[in-house]
Amino acid sequence: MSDAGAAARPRGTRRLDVLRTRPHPAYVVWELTLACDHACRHCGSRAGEARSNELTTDEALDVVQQLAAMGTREVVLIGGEAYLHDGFLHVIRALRAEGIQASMTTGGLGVTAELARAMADAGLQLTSVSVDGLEATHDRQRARTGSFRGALAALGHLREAGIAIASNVNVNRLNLGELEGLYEVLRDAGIRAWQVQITTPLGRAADRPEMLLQPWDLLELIPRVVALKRRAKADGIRVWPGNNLGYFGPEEGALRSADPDDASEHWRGCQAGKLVLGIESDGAVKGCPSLQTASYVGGHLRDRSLASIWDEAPELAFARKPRELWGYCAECAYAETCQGGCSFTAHSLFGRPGNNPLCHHRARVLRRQGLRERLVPTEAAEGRPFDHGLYRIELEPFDAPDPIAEARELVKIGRKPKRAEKAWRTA
Amino acid sequence: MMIRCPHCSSFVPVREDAAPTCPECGKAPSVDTTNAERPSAKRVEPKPEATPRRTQSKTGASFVRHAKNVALGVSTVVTLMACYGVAYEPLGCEDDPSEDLDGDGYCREYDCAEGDPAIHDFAADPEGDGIDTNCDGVDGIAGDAG
Repeated sequence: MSDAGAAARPRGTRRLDVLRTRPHPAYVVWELTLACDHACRHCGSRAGEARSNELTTDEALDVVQQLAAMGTREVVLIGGEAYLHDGFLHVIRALRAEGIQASMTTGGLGVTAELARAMADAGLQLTSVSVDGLEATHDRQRARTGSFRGALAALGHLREAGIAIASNVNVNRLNLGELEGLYEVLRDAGIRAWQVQITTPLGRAADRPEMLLQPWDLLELIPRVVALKRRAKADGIRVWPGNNLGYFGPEEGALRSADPDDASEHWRGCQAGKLVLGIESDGAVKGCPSLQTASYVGGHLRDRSLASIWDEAPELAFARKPRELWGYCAECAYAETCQGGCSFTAHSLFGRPGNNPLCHHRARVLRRQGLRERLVPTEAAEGRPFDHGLYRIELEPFDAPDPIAEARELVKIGRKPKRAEKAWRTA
Repeated sequence: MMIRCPHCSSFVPVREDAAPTCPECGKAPSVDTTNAERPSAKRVEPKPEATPRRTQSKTGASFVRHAKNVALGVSTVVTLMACYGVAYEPLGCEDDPSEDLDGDGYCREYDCAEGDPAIHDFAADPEGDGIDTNCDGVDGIAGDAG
């Protein structure tokens, strides 16, 4: 670990009492640039080209000061690829100088041994490399031959440089059958933690509905993830669910707790704008990095201070009070605690949060009734970063045919013409 | 408030207006202190006056009182993460596990109390128990008051 890391070590950064802690941007995910060396077929931000008006290095360093003043504990740098921003290493140094934990999520393609050492010297503590399947599947999803080998090489370079390594996977129908094999590859690469989340119809993933899980796929996925979590515990690896994987059901405690055999923790509702903050590379501020830009940006850092956006923007405050639930979620026994699960996931399906069919408990209840919910696309996305289409729910017999189950295709659907953005609240 | 269902391990919401029934298996969980929510960072000994009677409650309200007593002083702690893949607490024991003298999984600069497994730099530190379990100088999370 670098001297910077030793000098300004944060304390207690990852575990917070969410019911007693006052809302503040404790955990920040910051898209430094939208420039990327991949053009992944599931990318929610449709990364590739930099935005035309991204924050400069000087502006980014000012943002670091604002984050420090607001009590931020941890910043995860993302992109695009964060290392493609000119100020990447400067921002890491500034974060560490303020005692903020500096992490990064990357596809790893450009992480050479030299860059990894520079990142370590700057004080970067943790890096999660995204690996979305075994080699053929990963390269297909990431639309780049050699991406898988690049990701594994990056894990090696980062580990060699002394940076703690983790990995994450977006689960969908392309890679659903490869989780156990992927885990073994990552375990052998030396990861210490693995985050499992499901691909949501956001950005480019919205263009490929056949690749997405249907709600009943969770009946298979969640027990498998919990089994892997128990196996990983023996390997000294922690498996964490992403915020859109859940909710409740018999495996909830094991899924959501640090120790699957303790199993005392459970989903507490969306933390967007409560303890989580997302920043887009042009300075747009949202309550969570994955929330839809058109509906959830509360302000821009070139126009207003972070504190004023956090305190005053209604777009960031939506999760600080009980949510307006609808559909199945409104009547669910877990409604008060769950609050409809992940906000951006529900919004990506229906254009508003509060009803989330991608739910383990819900799928289990319906299965007991001999039913399941099929998500059917009705409207395509426009092609902007963090945009979404629309879906409807079709209730069908649990044993109904599933014609796309074996397709494993990345069929792309058409896109509707761009129109003026319209917030769902005013619709 | 949630309790654990002894029949299927699911969480069971506890409401004021109804006796609890497990949403998963449909059975009524018994009142058992081991089923109540508890923090993962350290063991909390229930206060003597809060020890519940091991009886089956007939109404939701009495069950709520029971469960609240069980959960007295217990906070809810979750690991904070968004969906961007970094869900890792550095442990410091990777190179030499024998350095972890108290067996809490944290070593060196990440364990401010090597010798007490309930205390380390990444421990949850629920406010109100009088114990600074994450060594930030306060009971609770430093800077979070208010």
